[in-house]
Amino acid sequence: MFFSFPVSNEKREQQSSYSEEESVQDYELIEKIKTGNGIAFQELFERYKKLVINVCFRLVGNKDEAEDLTQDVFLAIFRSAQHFNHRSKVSTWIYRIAINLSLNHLRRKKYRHWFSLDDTSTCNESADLDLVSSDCPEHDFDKQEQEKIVLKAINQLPADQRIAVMLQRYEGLSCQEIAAIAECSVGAVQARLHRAKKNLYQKLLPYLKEI
Amino acid sequence: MSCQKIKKQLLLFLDNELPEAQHQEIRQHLAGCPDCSKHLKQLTKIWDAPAAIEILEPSAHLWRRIASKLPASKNRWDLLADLWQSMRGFAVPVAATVIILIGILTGAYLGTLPSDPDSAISGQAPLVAAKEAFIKTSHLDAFDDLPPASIGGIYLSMETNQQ
Ligand SMILES: [Zn+2]
Repeated sequence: MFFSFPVSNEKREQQSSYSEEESVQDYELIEKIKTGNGIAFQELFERYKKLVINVCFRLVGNKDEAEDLTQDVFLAIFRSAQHFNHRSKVSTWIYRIAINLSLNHLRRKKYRHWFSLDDTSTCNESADLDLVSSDCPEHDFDKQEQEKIVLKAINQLPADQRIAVMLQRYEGLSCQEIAAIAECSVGAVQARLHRAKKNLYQKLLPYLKEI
Repeated sequence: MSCQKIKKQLLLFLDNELPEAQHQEIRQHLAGCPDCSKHLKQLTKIWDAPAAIEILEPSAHLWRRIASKLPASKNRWDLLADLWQSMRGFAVPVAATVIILIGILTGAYLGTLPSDPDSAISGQAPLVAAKEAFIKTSHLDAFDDLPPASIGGIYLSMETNQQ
């Protein structure tokens, strides 16, 4: 795997620990899950629970919702294991399920907002971001605050750009891996990343003066 | 390239995502433009904060929640069978421990019983009677002569002949 992008230390460990051998083990687990083996399913859960909850959390921005989504993701994995073909890596397939369910969740939430009477917010398809403590540019910055600002900016991007940036920045994935998850060409991923970073620059501009 | 155009591409420059020629052009511009290099420094500070975002851990009971929602047919007998599969490695040590424990407990219990029928107190009389009945019915009298055709009898006759 190739890391040219900023990734947290913990993520780095998690990523680099995925060896070829573990990919083979993943395939074996899926084969057992196809026969209804609950222990194999639990092992897959232990292996991927952190990855799934963090992908969901960064997309929906709420811990409780991320936990509920993690449950939905693993139930979907169990149900659709039958249809898993070995053309993609198990991790790619799991990323895809986690992202799709998170985006569906945000869409449903958007429509609920749309039909609710007390709706005064300008809700879009992105996360609520209750993890961002301050909207104010005149805030005392520290590293975590800065990262929250970046995450907020990322969450305001259109879904395709948002997913590409998230997977690159927080999961340390290459364009090839992102393309496999998004089921598009590498060129399309690169184009999304270009558009995303030009948009992000505009969104981060108000905060730069304060640093 | 104008300063404005350079600045818009700085995030791509930071992430090494520009074609080589463009990357070099920006690098050269930055060397001669204090305003753009100050801007890059600010941008680096916010963009390169190495994902200092918290890493979530799922709650301890999440697996139980998921397991309870699995299809029923796969939730009971199959899980039990799977559990047995995964415990096979422990079966022998566990069985050995259980047998040893039973042995120790049985030994400890038998050790509390009177070994001499004559010293038995009245409360243990039925046990003494049972022992006597057992000795009688199985013809085990320690002072009986050994049957002549038995191995013991042959051995005894060889011993007495040698003497
Ligand atoms: Zn300049």
